[in-house]
Amino acid sequence: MSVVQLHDNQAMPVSKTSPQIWAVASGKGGVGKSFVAANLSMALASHKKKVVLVDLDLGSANAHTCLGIHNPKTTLSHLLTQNNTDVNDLVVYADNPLVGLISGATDDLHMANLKHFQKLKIMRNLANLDADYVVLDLGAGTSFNTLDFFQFADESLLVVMPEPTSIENSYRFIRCLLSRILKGLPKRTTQAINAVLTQQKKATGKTQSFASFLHDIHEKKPKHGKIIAKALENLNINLLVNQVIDPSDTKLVASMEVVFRKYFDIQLYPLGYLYHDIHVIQSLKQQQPYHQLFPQSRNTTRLQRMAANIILRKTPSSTGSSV
Amino acid sequence: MNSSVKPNYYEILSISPNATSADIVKAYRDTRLIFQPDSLAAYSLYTEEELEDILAQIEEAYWVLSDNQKRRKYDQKHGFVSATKTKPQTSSSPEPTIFTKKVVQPVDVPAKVNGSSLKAVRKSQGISIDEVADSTKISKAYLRAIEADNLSELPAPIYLKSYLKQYAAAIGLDAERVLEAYQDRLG
Repeated sequence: MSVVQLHDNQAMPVSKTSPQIWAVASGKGGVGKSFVAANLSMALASHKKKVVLVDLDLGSANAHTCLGIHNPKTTLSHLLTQNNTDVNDLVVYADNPLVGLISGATDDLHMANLKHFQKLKIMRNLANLDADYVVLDLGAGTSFNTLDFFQFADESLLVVMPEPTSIENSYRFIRCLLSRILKGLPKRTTQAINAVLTQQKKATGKTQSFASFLHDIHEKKPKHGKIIAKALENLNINLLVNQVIDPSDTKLVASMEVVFRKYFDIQLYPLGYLYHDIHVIQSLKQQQPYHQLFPQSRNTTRLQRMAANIILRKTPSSTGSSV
Repeated sequence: MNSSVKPNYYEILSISPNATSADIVKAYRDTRLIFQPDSLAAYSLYTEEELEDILAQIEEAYWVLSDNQKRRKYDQKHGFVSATKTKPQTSSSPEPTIFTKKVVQPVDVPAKVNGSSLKAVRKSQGISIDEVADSTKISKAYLRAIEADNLSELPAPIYLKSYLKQYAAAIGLDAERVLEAYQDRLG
């Protein structure tokens, strides 16, 4: 059983202003996660914020293509294979000096399977990036590394498409995330959790909603309920529905917020939705960021509004002291 | 559901305790749509049975909150500052629970109240079943079941009460009187 000590970086002395870290994930691939991560980064930059996009989808790195940067000279592998590297030296830029990239496009073909200590090294270094925002483009799926980066970030963003396979996979992603968080808790708490789950299963013969589990554990084992609540406290999960075609799907963001609260008893922050746009592929082929090539598009406008919302919500943390 | 996580009626409809009547109708319809069996937002999380339970909860919440008197009692019981306190009590004025596209004139409740007489009233008012479905957002299948007196088609007694009330209002009838007449047929 590997327990991720995600409190590591909180104990580190951090320089004056550390960036607000966003992690972008989706249950399945092909939803537009890399597109969103890259263009949301550009949208934040359009509001004069310095952003570094970090491609953590090491098996299928796409961030550089979305930003129109080919053959980046330095990549994430440099951080892992070399000692005493200043992570800021690994950032590459295209046209926009406010949007930097640490690419995952490496010739090291084993990179996709990060070891635990490598993951921790990356996490420590992300806080040292000289930026207002760091956006992590995570791999698709529910591998432990993806879940851990998602939990580690200050704010996380789930990207979904308005169709059943994407919806189902995103809910499964969250369930995997919660399961991993719970498994990492102290032994007494995990024992209490198993006791409650076994009881529930006996009584009804099936798995209950997470909300129902939380209710039971707060009622039957309140001390452990509190521990669980604290572990879930720092989850700030946002939702973006991408590739909307049908007008009725614009309601999906709000609907999922309601379902989320009912099933998980967790507040989901609706970031908004983006339209399906054939110009996305065009921008990739032309090797330029969509945000730059189509500044007047509906999606670019929406992304800029989302970025403004993000900036207004919370200024990047400037505290570095350990809790 | 085993451990009954009993959210209050406002939580069920995702509204605040000082929501207006219009807010409540909208929230009722939106929430009902979200938990339909073919809903995208709830896909893969709930079994059909669980969705039925949730929908019944939604109907129950709307049943109480859409009625000023019932709502006031509920608010007092649960310690909510009642949004209905400041409204003057005018029992004869119909509550704005239905948004209809055409103006529907109130008509007298027929002597015998059943599916076919309700259907006759609807027709005499020149309202199609599509129009009722459109203004109440109740499925045509359920509306037809009410008019055909196939009351077993409806999943639970709370549906019949709730839908009868909305249907009656949509065709210009005094909902209370219609519900009274159905008293023995309601669960």
